[in-house]
Amino acid sequence: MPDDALGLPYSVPARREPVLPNGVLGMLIFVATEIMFFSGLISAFVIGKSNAIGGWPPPGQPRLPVEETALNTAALLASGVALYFANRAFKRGDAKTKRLLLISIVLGGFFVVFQGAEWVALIGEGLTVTSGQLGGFFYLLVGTHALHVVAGFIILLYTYRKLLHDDLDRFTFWPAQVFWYFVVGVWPILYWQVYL
Amino acid sequence: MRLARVALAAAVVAVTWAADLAYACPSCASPLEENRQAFVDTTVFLTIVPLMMIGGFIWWLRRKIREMDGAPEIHP
Repeated sequence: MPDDALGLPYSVPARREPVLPNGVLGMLIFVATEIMFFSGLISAFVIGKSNAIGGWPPPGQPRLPVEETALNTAALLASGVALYFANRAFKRGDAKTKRLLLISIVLGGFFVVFQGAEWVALIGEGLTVTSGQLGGFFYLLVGTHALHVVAGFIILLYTYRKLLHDDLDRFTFWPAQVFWYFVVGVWPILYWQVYL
Repeated sequence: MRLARVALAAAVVAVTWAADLAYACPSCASPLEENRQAFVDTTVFLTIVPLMMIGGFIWWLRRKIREMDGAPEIHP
């Protein structure tokens, strides 16, 4: 029996639009834990590097490809910029969203493929996880980031698929962006610490 | 009660005083100056990062809530 049939005062409490959608809040909390995870890894690396006897990088170890990775870094940063503009276009309901999101995905894919090729070359030169401190830290730090890039790449592909089916809303797109911006933002710090 | 407080304060002072002798990790006792500095730097870094994240989020949230104070209400 409805409440008002009893003659009781009936009112629905007014609500406001939430400050943050649940998906975004969840992703932000996840990214915060990831930031602490990477901070721990970077701190361990900095201490390990400072403890190395004979300087860093250790003598007799292959040199990391600084210039080539700078290009790859630029590609990843460009991917983040493309995603930012894709979001702006999405808010306007602009048809450019598809193209910009695709550019972001392609650049992210380029980063993964390029890094895979870099790893193959480094393993060929003798840099492995067990070859020394440099190899151990390199594959741990860069490998962990690479896993995140692959995860972000899959999330972006999912959002693109939803966009193609006109099924993408901001509650899906926004958390995906938060994750990708994290992946893009943490890389220059890793590049600076590990490669330079 | 007062004696317990004094004892607690004395214990805190004693622990703080003796902390530099604890050498809880190999880095603290490292003969390399660069290594000791790296340990200090990363400790500061790992202390500041979570505080900045939480502080930044609270600041942003407060600002956003103030902005939304005048926003229209939604009736379900």
